[in-house]
Amino acid sequence: MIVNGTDISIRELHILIAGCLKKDRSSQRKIYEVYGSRMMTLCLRYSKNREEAEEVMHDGFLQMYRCIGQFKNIGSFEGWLRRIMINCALQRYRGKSIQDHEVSLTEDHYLLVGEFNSDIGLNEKEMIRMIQALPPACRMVFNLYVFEGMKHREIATLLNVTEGTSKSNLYDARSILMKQLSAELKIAR
Amino acid sequence: MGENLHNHVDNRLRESLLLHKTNPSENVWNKIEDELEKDEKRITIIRSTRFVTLALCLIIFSGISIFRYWSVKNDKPYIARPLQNISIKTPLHNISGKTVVSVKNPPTIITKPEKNLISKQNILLEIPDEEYTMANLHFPAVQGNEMEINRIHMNQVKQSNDFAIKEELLIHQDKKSLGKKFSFTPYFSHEFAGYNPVDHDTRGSNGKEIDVQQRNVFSASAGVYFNFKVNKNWTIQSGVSYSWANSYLDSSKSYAVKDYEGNIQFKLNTNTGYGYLKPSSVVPPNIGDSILTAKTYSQLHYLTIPLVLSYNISMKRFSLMVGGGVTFNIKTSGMLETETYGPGYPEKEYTVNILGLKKTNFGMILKADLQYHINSRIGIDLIPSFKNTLGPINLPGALSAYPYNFGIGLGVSYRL
Repeated sequence: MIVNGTDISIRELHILIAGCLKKDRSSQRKIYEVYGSRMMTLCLRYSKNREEAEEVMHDGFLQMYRCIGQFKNIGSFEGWLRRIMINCALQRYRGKSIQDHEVSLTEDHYLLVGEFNSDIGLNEKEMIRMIQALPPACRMVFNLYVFEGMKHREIATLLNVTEGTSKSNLYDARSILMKQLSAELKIAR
Repeated sequence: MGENLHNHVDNRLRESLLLHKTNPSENVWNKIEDELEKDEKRITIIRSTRFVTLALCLIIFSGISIFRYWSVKNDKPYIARPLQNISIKTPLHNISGKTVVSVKNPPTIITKPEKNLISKQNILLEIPDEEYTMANLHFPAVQGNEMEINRIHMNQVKQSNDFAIKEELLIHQDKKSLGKKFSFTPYFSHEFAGYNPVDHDTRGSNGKEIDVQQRNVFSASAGVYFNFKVNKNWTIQSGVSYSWANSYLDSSKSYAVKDYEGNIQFKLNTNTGYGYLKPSSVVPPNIGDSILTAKTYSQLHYLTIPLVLSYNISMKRFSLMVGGGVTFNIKTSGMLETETYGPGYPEKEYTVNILGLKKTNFGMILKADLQYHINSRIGIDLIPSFKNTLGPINLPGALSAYPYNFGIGLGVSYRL
């Protein structure tokens, strides 16, 4: 039985996890190879650029290896790993200066992402860049709401903001993104 | 409409990106690996620090014990006072009002009734030839209402005004009962085992390279020491123990070679020996073909007979035996457990014997035995030890392995 979205079986995954528990480097490397590329996309979505994303991923994988004993084989390993990555991204976000957080939405954001307008649709790379170009608070809220399926109440608790701020950030994020996708939306309508 | 547009944006991005893969740069893994190596070094340092701390504590404790032992020995002698003769098996409490005592072998006991016999552990003996000296009772055991005296060390005693005592050092041993010189100590020892490899295959990959892949895990031994007390200070220890050393080998490649019967099999090399893996494919492999082996679990079991000479230092209820000696090790089993996979070869689990091992080998042992005497018969032992083989455990080949281990054992001593 193959693990969802990967090319390894559940049995192989269990062997790899057991290997990681014993600090076996080849198992650690294999886990990284299996999940690294998907986690990279996740980290890119939560970061403003590739360098930051790689730092988040580095921290996340290290944390995973150190705490792999806490994985109880209940639920998916990937889901557990995603949570670790998201927590690392959130820690980085919280650790940044308040100034960074309070970047207000300006025309620049619309201009910046405006470069990605395309009549033939956007590829994944461009979509990631669109998300990365969002103000940090908007990016966080958008990712947590859209990709992790969290409620505003949960997001507000995580980011230490009010529910209203969370909703407002989501609205702003969507407004920016909608502009970029407008060409595609016209086709859809 | 606005809500629909928002949902469209959400869905469009979610569908595109949720399962999208982006390759991270190789640099990320390199950094992670560096950090993991630092972690492992930190853990090794912490473990080593613990071991060194324990060893230091033991040395300091031993030093204090030796210092106190000599201090007590060279202390001002006990001044004897008017004494009262007590015949053998006469209950002491009738005289001292302290403890009921029966004495097995000494002919006559003279004690100080006003002193608490047990707490002081001092007693005066009347030697049959009427020379009086003072004895220091070791390990008086209170059993019900009886105190049994097994060993008596005589101290030098000066003359007192009240009582003439000859100034000499005497040692009283219970020579009548040989059994009292014997004790035995069953024990269990948690061990850290490692291998010192010597590479004879400097050009190939069958030598010391294997050592890099091998990781040692929990090892242990259990057995029993038989102790024979030669005299006050020296003890000969022997016995038997069963030890098991486990280790893991990281996943690696095994290459097809001809085995000793001419069959082509995959050879799995480890630090301690090698094993042959029968190919899982229908088509036999060619020499030089390779297959991937998952993590390999290696188990080595030995029966060990030690012979140790130890020096004893006693201090009230504690005694320390420090000694060294040789061990004769007999291999009882050696197994490799692994799994293979690779293109053209279905997954297969193996449990094979380790080949290329000597059946017997000699080793050396250094050990200490810190004993706390609960009573005259039973004691609790803490036994740190270091063992190393005097020669390689494997037959001549690409790699010679000299195993060593540090162990901390716990045991219980019983004196006959």
